[in-house]
Amino acid sequence: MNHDLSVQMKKGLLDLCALALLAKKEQYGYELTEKLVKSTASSPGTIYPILRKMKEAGLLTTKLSEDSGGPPRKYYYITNTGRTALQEATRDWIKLSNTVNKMLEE
Amino acid sequence: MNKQPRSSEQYLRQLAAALQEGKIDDIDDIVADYKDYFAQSKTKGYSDEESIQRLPKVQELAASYIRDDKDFHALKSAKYPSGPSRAQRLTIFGASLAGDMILLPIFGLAALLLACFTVVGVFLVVTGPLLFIPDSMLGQVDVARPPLLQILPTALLLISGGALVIGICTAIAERMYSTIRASIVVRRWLLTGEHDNHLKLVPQISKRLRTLLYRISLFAALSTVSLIVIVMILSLITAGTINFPSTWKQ
Repeated sequence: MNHDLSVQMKKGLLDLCALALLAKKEQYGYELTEKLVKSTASSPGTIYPILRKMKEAGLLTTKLSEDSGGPPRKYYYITNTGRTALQEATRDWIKLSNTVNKMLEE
Repeated sequence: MNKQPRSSEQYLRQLAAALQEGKIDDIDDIVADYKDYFAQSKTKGYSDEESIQRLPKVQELAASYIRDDKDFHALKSAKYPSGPSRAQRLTIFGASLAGDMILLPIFGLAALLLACFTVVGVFLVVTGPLLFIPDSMLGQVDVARPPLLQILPTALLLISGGALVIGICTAIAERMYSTIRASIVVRRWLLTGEHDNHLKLVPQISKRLRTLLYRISLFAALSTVSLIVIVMILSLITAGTINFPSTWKQ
């Protein structure tokens, strides 16, 4: 498969994956980035800008936590708008993947 | 030629400079993300060079932020053509000052009451253990000292009651602080048009300490209630109001 196409496809799904992970539980920035890097083979340099964009769009919010004793850690939380967006994106993804799967089987 | 920097410090410095050129607002916040990335990668055993290899070139990374920023502002201005004008903001600010005239004395009074209650709480907590000071240490005492079994519930009541009062005062004070902080953030925006959602008026106590305080006050609340019930039952028994069935006594 064309490498660019694969990268673009994964990049397009990063928002959805980030929202899905955060819907389960709040995540420390590095931890979230590493999970997304592993599951989508993206670069941390791709993920941080996406998280920032999602925060500006009001889908996520961040909070600094001083629990670790070290420097404050940035935790990401999903907002209500984020949850609604996740529900819509999940519906769209299921629909799209079904359509694509059918096309591929033909 | 865009050569990748060799150390994390160089990468961060170059990133900050490139973002500054692109007039990005929250450079510190973005750089902090990568600072944290380098620090955490180091704890996982990655060298600076390995961590840098996983990132795009500095200029590419900065360009992605600059592009996103432009897109976001374009989208925002299309969605919200313009915010309230400066004149409108100042009018609202003036009106809010009138509201302050009424609210400030109420807040002041509430703060004073909270301070008094906290002092009472501390006094109660301190008084509890003082009841156990032996007579020999107090010198000449005219009042006959009650037995230890009577002092114990009283002392426990004082301590837990005091802790409860302190806990409640802390919770109310925290709510008041959040309200004041939010109103200052809004007033600042009305006056200058700038947002600062991370404004800290006083150094905040850690989450762990706050949780501990709430747990102590919850424990104090439960023990106060149980102690009151026990003391009431005991006094009813000793006053003869509650009589056990004769079969129990056998």
